[in-house]
Amino acid sequence: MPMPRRKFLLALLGSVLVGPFAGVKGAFAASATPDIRMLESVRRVGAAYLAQCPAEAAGSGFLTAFEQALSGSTRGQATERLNALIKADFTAGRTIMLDGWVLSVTECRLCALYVAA
Amino acid sequence: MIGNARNLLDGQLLECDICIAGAGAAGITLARELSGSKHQVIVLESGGLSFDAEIQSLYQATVSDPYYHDPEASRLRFFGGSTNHWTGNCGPLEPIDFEVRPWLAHSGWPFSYAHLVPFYKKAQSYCQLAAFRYDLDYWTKQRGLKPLQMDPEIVTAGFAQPSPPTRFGEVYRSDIGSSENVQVYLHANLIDINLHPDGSHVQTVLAGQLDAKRFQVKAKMFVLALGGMENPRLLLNCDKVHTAGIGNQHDLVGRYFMDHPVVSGATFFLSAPSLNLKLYDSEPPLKGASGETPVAYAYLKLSDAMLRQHGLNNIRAPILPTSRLSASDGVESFHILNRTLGAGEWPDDLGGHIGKIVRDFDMVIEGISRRAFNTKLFDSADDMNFFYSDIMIEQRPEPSNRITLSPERDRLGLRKAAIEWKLADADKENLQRCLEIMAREFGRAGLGRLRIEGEHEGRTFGELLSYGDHHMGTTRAHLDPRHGVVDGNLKVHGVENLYLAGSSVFPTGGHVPPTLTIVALAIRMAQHLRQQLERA
Repeated sequence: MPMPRRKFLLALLGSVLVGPFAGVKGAFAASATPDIRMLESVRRVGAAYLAQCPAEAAGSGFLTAFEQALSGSTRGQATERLNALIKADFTAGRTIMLDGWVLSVTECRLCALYVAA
Repeated sequence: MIGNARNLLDGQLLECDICIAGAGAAGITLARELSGSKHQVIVLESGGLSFDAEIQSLYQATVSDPYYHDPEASRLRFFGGSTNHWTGNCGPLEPIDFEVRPWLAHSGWPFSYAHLVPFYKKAQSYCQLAAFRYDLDYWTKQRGLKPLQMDPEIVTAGFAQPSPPTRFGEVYRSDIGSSENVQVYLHANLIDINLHPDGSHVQTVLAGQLDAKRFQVKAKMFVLALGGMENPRLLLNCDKVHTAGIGNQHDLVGRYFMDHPVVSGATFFLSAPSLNLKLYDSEPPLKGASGETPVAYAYLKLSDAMLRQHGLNNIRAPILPTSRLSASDGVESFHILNRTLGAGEWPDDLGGHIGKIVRDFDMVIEGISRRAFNTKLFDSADDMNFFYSDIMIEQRPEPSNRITLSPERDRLGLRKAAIEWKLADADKENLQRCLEIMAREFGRAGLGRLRIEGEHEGRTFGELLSYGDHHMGTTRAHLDPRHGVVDGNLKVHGVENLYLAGSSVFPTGGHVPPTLTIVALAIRMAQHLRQQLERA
């Protein structure tokens, strides 16, 4: 049975995010309730990103397209693709500073997806 | 010989070839280098062999910035000078530091890094260091450790060597004391520099004690080695012939005052906690892989290519472990609210601070408990999962940062120093841009993420700002007297026999603590003085 969307997103967050999201990975891997404080970080980053980039907000179709690019992938494939995108972001300087953290655009979009989900 | 100037007669005249005022790292190195030569050397030291509060109080000064370190506490005024309390962090300036950097006004030394290398090599032993090696290949092999894998064209590792630290007064006291041609006078405060009436050269200097006893020293050469604040203060005080002060014909003495600001500027979060950071441990083991001692430790810095491409001044970013409590945003917000609300003001983003306190409530309670009741509540507060960086900044030379004279006089009758110091917005912006480049490379390399600590309600660049207490630039070196107080030989422009030693001559300070360079320059000056006297 395919993983529910929100849980799939959470799994991806747990696989690729570091820094302000410390704890998400461990909490998910243990199949426990994700750490509320760390999920709050994801929500804050997602919301802040959408506020900074309103063109990508829900309804614009941008996030949908981003999600579609990941759909059909297994968790492993999506993780691999996301990590490649994140590395490419940092190489190209496609970074955003949120609350002091220097994050890749892909990371922020993933958080925004979770907020919008 | 080490003697006591209190035993001299009032009005006595001493004669020698070279008179050195100040027995800190520069003065002691100079004296030791000249020891054994045929030249008679007199060293005047204000203090004795140990701390004396009355003498130390001669360092009192006024400071414009309320958070800048008290000049009476940041220096020491007895034999050995400030090496009596330095931490011993050593390294040479980098080749780029000596260049004229088009993006940095007033940059450029009158000589190159390569010129100074032979003197740096000799300075290593003065500071009780290992070989003159500060490169990545050498130290990774010596220590058998790997650096963080980053693109060296973007972020690279610099190295510092820890001196024991060398207390110059203790370590070199017997050498100086047994010298046949070097005579040290303790309790000998430099009070005045007597120029020939035409201002061309120094005839004698006046020295004495607090009890009004005075004596004079006549010499062929004079060296002021009093430190980055006292060198300009003395030059400005001596205004009988040159009314603006000695060497101050172009209003440069005291200007361009620099320090090394230290900012807790970044937090590192590693993607793999198992990454080996031993190479970056600032308290390395005393022996390396091949058994030599002591060893060097690494810090992060930007490559020269990045500095040139982006027009930046470098920073030194060590990677230091810290606890969850120390890294807590909630605790930081608590301090901000405590300060601002306590002062009857509203902070910016009150809701944001309250949110951080709520999210980190356990750490806020922990902090209060430890401070108020000296009681630990949560063991997790001490988890060392975070890394932070106390970043040392190269401060740009600004003419408005300066040492002038206040109307108030000390017990010797000299006007006290008044210190104008401010960190320019351009320096803060430079730090931010350097950290952004580091953060991107940290992410690209898959090492983790870096959080840049922003200004927190005036705290980061105010009460939380620290300093290296490296007083530099106030009598800067430049070949052109319109741009420098001393020339390439560190002789005061326009005065044929007066030299300045120490970090006051640095045109720029890099991100490197200055002691090794001070010592290297003193060795170089000793060679020059010997050559000059032999020619004469």
